[in-house]
Amino acid sequence: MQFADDNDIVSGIKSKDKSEQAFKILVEKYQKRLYMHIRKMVISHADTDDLLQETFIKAYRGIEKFREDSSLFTWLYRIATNETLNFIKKKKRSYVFTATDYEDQLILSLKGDEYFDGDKAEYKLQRAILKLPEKQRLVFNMKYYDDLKYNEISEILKTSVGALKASYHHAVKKIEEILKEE
Amino acid sequence: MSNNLDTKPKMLKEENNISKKNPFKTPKSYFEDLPDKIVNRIKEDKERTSYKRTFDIFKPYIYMAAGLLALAFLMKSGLSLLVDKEDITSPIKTQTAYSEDDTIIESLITDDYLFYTYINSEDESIESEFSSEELEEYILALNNIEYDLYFELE
Repeated sequence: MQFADDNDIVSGIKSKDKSEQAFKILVEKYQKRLYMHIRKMVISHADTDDLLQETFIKAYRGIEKFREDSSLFTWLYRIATNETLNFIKKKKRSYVFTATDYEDQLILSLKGDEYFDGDKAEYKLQRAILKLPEKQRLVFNMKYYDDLKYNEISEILKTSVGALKASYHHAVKKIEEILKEE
Repeated sequence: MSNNLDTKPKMLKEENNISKKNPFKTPKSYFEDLPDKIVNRIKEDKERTSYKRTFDIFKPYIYMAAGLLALAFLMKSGLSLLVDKEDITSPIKTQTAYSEDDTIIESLITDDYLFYTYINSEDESIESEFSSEELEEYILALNNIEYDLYFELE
C-alpha cells in the first residue's frame, strides 16, 4: 500500500485497517531528523531513544487532534521539542543541590560517549553550543544544522521570526567568543 | 540588519575548520528496528490500559468486599477474644469421657442412698424401690463379680 504524501499517511493512521502500516511509514520517514534534533540537545543516545519513542507514541495517540492544514513535520518537530525541553527541565531540577549543573554533565558525557564520532574541532563546537541556554541552543541547532527556515522554526517554537533571528545571532556570537577563548 | 542576522556563521566553518557533518552515531540497525519497537510498545500499552480499565470498573466492589471481609474478621476475632476471656477466668474444666461406667457409678451413688435408706428404714411402709433382682445386681456391681460366676460359686 502506497502513501503518496503526509495527508495519506495521516488518513492511514486514522483508519482501522491501515493504521499500523501507515504509522510505520511515518516513523521511517521522520525518525532520523527527529533523532538528530533531540540528540543534539540531550547528547546521550539512550535518552534520545526514550524521547524519540515518546514523541512518536504521543503523535500516534494524538493523531485525531492533528489539523491537516498544518505541516505534519512541524507538528512532529513540536512534539519532539516539547518532550526534550520537559526532559531537560526535569534533569536540571535533579541537579539543583549538586556541585555540577546539567550542562556541565552533558559536556562531560560528550567526552566519553561511545556514539560521538566527532573530531577535536567538532567536540569544541558541541561543547560551546552546550554552554548556551537551551532555547537559544534549540534555535541555533534548528537553523545551523537542520537548515530550517525561520517561519518553520516560528511555527514549531511559537516564537516570532524577529525574536528567532535575534536569538540565532546572539547564539552565533557567543559560540564564536567561546571558540576564540579556547 | 536582517542580512547580518541571516549570514552563516563563517567562523564556525572556516577559521575552526568545522564542518556541518553530524558527529553523532547510533547503534547498528537502530533505525531499522525502531518502527517495530514503537509499534510493539503501543500494542503493549493498549493491553495494559484495557486490563486497567477492567480493574477500574470493578475496583469499588473489590474494595467494598475487602472492607467487609476485614470487618468480619475483626468482629470474629473480637468475639472469640470475649469468649476465651470467660474461659480463662473460670476454673479449668476437665472433660470427662462419657462411659457406661459413669451411669453405673451415678446410679450406684443414687442407689446407695436409697439402699441405705431402705436397709435402715424400720418403716416397712416404705416401699422398696429395688426389686430383689436389682439388689442382687447392685451387690454384684459393687464387688465386680460377674453374674454367672456368682451363681457358679453358689
